[in-house]
Amino acid sequence: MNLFENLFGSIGALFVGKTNGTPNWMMMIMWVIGGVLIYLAIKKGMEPTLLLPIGFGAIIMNFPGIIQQFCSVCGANISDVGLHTDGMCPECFNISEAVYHFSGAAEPLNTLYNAGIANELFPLILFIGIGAMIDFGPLLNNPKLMIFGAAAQFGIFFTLCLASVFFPEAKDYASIAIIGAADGPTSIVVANTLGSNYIGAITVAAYSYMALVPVIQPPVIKMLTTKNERRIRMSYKATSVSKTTRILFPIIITIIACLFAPGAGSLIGFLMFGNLIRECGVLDSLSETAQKVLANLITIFLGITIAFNMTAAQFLNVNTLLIMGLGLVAFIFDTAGGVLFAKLYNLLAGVFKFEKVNPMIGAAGISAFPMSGRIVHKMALEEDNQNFILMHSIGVNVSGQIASVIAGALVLGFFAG
Amino acid sequence: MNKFIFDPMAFITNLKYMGIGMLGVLMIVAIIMLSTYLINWTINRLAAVKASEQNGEEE
Repeated sequence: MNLFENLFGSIGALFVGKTNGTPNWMMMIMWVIGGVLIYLAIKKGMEPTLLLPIGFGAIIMNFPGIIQQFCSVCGANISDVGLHTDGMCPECFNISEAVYHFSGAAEPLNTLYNAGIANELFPLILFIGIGAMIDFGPLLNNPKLMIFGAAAQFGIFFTLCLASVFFPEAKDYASIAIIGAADGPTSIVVANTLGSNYIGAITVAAYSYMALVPVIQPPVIKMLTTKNERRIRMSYKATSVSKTTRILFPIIITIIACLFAPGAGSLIGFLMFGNLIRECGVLDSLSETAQKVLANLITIFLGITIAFNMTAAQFLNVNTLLIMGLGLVAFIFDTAGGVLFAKLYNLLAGVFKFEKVNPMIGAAGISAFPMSGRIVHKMALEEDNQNFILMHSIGVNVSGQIASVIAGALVLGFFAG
Repeated sequence: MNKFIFDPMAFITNLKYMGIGMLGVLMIVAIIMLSTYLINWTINRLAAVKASEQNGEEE
């Protein structure tokens, strides 16, 4: 009998109840969104390592009664309507704080969230794995490419200004802007440090658009460049980079970044630590573990834990759509910033007589590694089947990885504390 | 949570972050770039000195 009461009680609550002022039937929309994310991950191959756990997490986080709110003053269950916007309890009318009680999937996910996201541990550990995967060789061969990676962060700061038009709080518009870093861990760290309410939507936008780089970037690049510009060939001198240089590079980058942008300490530090493990030559098994086992393990937990913020009450609102739109703007303006800077470089190259670059490599500074570098190379080959710019575009791509972390640190410097 | 506004002036107000932010990123990356050139130059120089010393010993 009790079983039937529970069964029909849950189904009934799904249609008639409310959670924090949001009707429970909207949870079913979250199931559909979760299903779409799983579909995109499996059928379209869009960032499956993250979109699949996030999609599944979005389903298990949306059931009536798994997150309950209680008034800290009178102890009444206020899950239906939540506290008023001014913090007043609807039952006792005192200014109070909500005390949450989690059950079902929300309970372990809350534990994981506090253990790995709230303190930024998961994204930082993931950065060790990413650092171990990156080969800075093309960049060390041609360090001037770094400047294009920096220019491609324009989308972050443009979106910061644009998002401030719609979102009144700096913690929100600054976090939304970091979608333009095209770098999931950086987006999570910045949004979490600033305490944004939209961390779920921001993470989904960041990873979705990273997967959509092959769709977003080519039209923007084509719009901003002529056929002749896309055909510019770039010489490549394959000089060998010494082991000492490869070892010194992550150490020196960390020192410089921490001196000039202290907020970058954790992000750059963990990224470069991973790279040092890779390049030192005496920790091959650790490097392999960081690249595969560690990165995979953290990715599993990161994806499903992010979904803790994907409840219908938090996710289903106009702001989420707006965040998705602003994320797209960030990616477009990142691409445009990189390409236009490369064109400016060519203008100066014409005046001061040094070698021009293919302006498309500017777009590779968008950090979505290594997809963006490959897209640019592919586009160059489409225009001229003898135009090999892969080493240049990958060089700009890895510099974008460093520059996006620095941009994130600067944004934290502007708005944190 | 669902605070939504439309304040076009905020764009102008925050333009300073765009300026300072882009300048900051370009400056830090330029310093990293110069340091990388310096590392490359120093390592190559040391390698050249070592090679010439070895050649001298052989002669």
